[in-house]
Amino acid sequence: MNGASAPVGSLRVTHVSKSFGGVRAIDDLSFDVRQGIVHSIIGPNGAGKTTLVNLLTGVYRPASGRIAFDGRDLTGAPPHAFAAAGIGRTFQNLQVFYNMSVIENVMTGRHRLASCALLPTLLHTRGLARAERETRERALEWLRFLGLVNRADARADALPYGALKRLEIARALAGEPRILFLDEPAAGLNATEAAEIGALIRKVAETGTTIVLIEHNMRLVMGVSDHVLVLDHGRRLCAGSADEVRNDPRVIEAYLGADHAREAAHA
Amino acid sequence: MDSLVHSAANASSRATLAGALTARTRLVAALALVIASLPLVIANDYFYDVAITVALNAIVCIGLNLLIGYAGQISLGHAGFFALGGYGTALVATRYGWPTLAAFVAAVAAVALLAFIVGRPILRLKGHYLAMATLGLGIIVSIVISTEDRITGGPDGMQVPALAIGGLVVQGERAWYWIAGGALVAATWVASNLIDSPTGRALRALHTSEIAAEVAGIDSARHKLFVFVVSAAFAAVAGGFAALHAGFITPAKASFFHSIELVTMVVFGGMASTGGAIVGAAVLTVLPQVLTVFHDYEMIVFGGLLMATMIFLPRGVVPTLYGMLASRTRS
Amino acid sequence: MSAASVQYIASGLTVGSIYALVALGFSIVFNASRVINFAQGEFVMIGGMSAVSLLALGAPMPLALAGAVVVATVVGLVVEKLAIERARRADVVTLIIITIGASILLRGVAQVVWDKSVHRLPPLAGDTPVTLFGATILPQSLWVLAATVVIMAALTYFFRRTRLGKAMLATSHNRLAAQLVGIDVDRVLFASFGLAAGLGAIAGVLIAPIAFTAYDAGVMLGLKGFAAAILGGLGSFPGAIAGGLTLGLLESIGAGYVSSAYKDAIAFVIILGVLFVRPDGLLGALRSERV
Repeated sequence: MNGASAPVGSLRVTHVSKSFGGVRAIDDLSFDVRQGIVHSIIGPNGAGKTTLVNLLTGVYRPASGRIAFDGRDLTGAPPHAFAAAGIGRTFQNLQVFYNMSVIENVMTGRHRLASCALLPTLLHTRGLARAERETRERALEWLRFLGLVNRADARADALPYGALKRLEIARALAGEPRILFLDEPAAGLNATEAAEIGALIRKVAETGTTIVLIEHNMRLVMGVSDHVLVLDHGRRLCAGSADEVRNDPRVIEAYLGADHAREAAHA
Repeated sequence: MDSLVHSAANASSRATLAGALTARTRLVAALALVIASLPLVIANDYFYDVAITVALNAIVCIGLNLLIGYAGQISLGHAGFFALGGYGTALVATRYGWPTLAAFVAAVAAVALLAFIVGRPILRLKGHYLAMATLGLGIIVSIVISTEDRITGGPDGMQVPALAIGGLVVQGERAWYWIAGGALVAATWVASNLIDSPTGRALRALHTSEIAAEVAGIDSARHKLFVFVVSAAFAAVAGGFAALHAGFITPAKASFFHSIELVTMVVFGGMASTGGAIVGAAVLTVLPQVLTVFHDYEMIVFGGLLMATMIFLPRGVVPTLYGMLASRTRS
Repeated sequence: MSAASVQYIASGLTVGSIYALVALGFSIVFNASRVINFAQGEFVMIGGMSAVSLLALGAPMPLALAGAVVVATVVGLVVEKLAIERARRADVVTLIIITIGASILLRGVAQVVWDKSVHRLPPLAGDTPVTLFGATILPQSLWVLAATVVIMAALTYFFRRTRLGKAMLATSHNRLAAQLVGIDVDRVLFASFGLAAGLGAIAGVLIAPIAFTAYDAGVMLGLKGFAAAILGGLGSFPGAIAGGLTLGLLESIGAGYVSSAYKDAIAFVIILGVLFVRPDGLLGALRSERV
C-alpha cells in the first residue's frame, strides 16, 4: 500500500467506481483530500457529488477501488467505522434527530468519543455521570460556536430550516472530526445566510479540520476553497485551485455557462 | 469575555443537569412510593395477585418499550421470551434438580443468549419484514412448546416448583408482592439509566435516522441487538417470576395473542415512555379483572383500543397527556 | 408415483390454492399502500362463517356463497374507510399495529355474532371421493383448483383490461406518477381492500367444506397466506400464486413424510428462511435504497 506518497492525515481515493442498476454514478475516480485545507467538489446535478460523499463516509460501498484514510484501508467499512476514524458529515436532506432536543442532537454527535460500556450504562455510575456532564458542556460550546446556545433545550423540530442546517454542522463538529464533509450546507439559504456559512467554514478550517464542501453556490465555493475538484458524469473533469478551475475553459463551458463565467470573473 | 460565557454555560448546564438527574430518578422514586404504600389499601389476596400480575407485565412492557418506543423496532413475538423464561426455570429445576433461584437465573441467561443469537440476523430486517420475522419466531416457540409434550407437558402445561431463596421457600401473595414490586423498581431504574446515557441517545437517534446515527459513530446493528437482548431478558425475568408465582405454566403464555397484548400495553400506555409502559400494563391488566362481563368482549375491546390509540393517540396515553399538560402550563 | 404421494400433492395443491388466494389479497393491498393488512385472514373467516349463516337462514347455496363474499367485501371496505384511510400517513409500525388491531376486533366481533364452535359448509359437489391416479381426492378439492384457475384468469383480465385494474397496477408501480396522471390513489386503496376482502372470502367459502370454519380460522390462514406472499415476493401476483402452491405442497409433503405435528411450523420456518436469505422472495425484484 503506497501510503508513503500521501501526506499524513489525508484521505486517498483510488480508482473508485459505483453503479446503480445500469448507471455508472462514479467512474474510476482517483484523488486525494489533503489535510488542513478547504476542498470543494462541484459539478452539475447528476455528476455524482452526493454519491461520492456517501462513498467517502461509508454510506455506500464502492463496487471497485480503495478508500484509505491516514494509510488505513476503509474500503467497504460501515459508516460508523468511518466516523470512528474521524470522518464526519452533514446531509443534503437534513437528517436531524427530531425526537430529541437541540443539545441532545449535538451530544449524540459526540458518540464516537463516548462510552457505551454495559455496567456503567445500566447502573449510571459516577464515571458515566461525569462523562455525561463533560459531553453536555462540550455540546454547549459547539452550540455557542454556531449561534444556537439559547435554543439548547428546545425540541429540534421547533427550529427553522436555517437553524437546523447549523444544528447538523454542530452535531458533526461535536464528534471532533479530522475531515468534515458538508453536503450542500447553503442549499435553501438566502445570500446573507450563505455568506454566514462561508464565514463559518473559514472559522472551522482555522481550527485545523479538513473541510470537503459539496456545493452549487459558486460564490461560496470560490470564496472559501483552497482546492476544487470538478466532476462530470461520475468522472474527474478537472482539479486545481479555485482560480485555475474558474478559468478552465472546459469547466466554464460545460458547467458554469456564460452567466457564471461573468460572475466568476467579477467575484 | 470567554470566561464569562463559559461560566454562564456551566451554570445553565448545572441547572438543567440537576433537573435531568431528578427526572431520571423521579419515576423510580414515585414508583417505589406507590409500591410501598399500596399494601395499606389492599384488602385481600386477590388484589395482591392482580398487583403482582401488573408488576410482572410492567417489567415486560418496560423492556418492550425500549425496543419499540425508543429504538423504533418491533417485536410481535415477545411472549415467546416470556414463556421461555418460565419453562426454562421449570425445566432446569425439575429435570436437572437445580435450586429454583439458580434455575431462574440460568433460564434468563439462556433466553438472553437465544435473543443474542437470533437477534443478529433478525434485526437486519426492518418494518414489516421485522414484524413478520419476530411473529414467526414467537409462533415457532409456541408450537415447539406445545408439541414437545414429553418435555413440556404439551398443551396442558407443566408444574413449576416454588421459589426458594437461601433455603426459605417463598410463600403467599404478600411475599411475592414484594419480590415483584422490587423487581419492577429495579427494572424501572435500569431502564431509566439506559435511556439517560450515550446508549439511550444512540437508540433514539437510530429510531429517527439510522444513517445519521451511523455517521455519528453509532454501530446501529450492535445497539439494536443490545436493546433486543435487554428486552428479551426483561421478558424472561417476568416470565420466570410469573411461573414461579403461579406454580404452573402453559403454552398459552407464548401465544401470538399474548404477544399482541404486550404490544397493546406498550402502545396504549406510551411509546418512548417508561412511565407510559407501566401505566399501559396496569390499565390493561386491571381492566379485564374489573369488567368481568369483559371476557366475551375482551378481543373487541383490545382490538378497538389498539386501533383507536394508533389512529388518534399515536404516541400513547401518557406522552399525549404529558404534552397537553406541558402546553397548558406554557400558555 | 405412489398413491400416497399423489394424495399429498393433491391436498397440497388444494390448500396451496387457498394460500394463493389469501396471498393475492396481501399483495393487492401492499401494492396499493405498502401496508401489510394483518386482517386479511379474517376476511377468509368472515366469508366461511357468513356462508354458514346465510345457508342456515334458508338461502340456496349459490346465493349464500355470493352473499358471503359480499358481506366480507363490505367489511373490508368499512375497515379501510374507518381505520386505514385516517392513518394513511402514519409510519410502518403504526400501520402494522392498526391492522393487527383490526384483525383482533373482527375476530372478537365474530366470536360474539357467531359462536366459538366449528362449522362446516356442505361441499359444492357432494362428499363422494373421486379416484385419480390411485389416490382418493375430494371433489371439493377439484372445485378449489378449478375456481382458482378461473379467478386467476378473471384477475388477469381485470388488471390488463379494465380501468380500475390498470389504475391499481399503475399505483403499485409508482404511486406519485399515478397521482400525477390523475389516478385517485385513495379510491385505488379503497377498491384494493374490497378486492382483497372478496378474494379472501372466496377462499374461505371454498375451503370451509374441507377444513371447516370457526371464529378463529382466519389467524393461521392469514399468517400462512402472508408466508406464501413473502415466499413468492411481496407485491408480485405470479409470486403469490407460486408461493401459495409451493407452501401448500411443502406443508403437505412435510406433514406426510417428515412430521405431522410440526406441520404448522413449516410456514413460519419458511418465513424466517426467506426473510433471512432473500427478503424479496423467489420472484421479487431486488430494490436498492438511495439516500
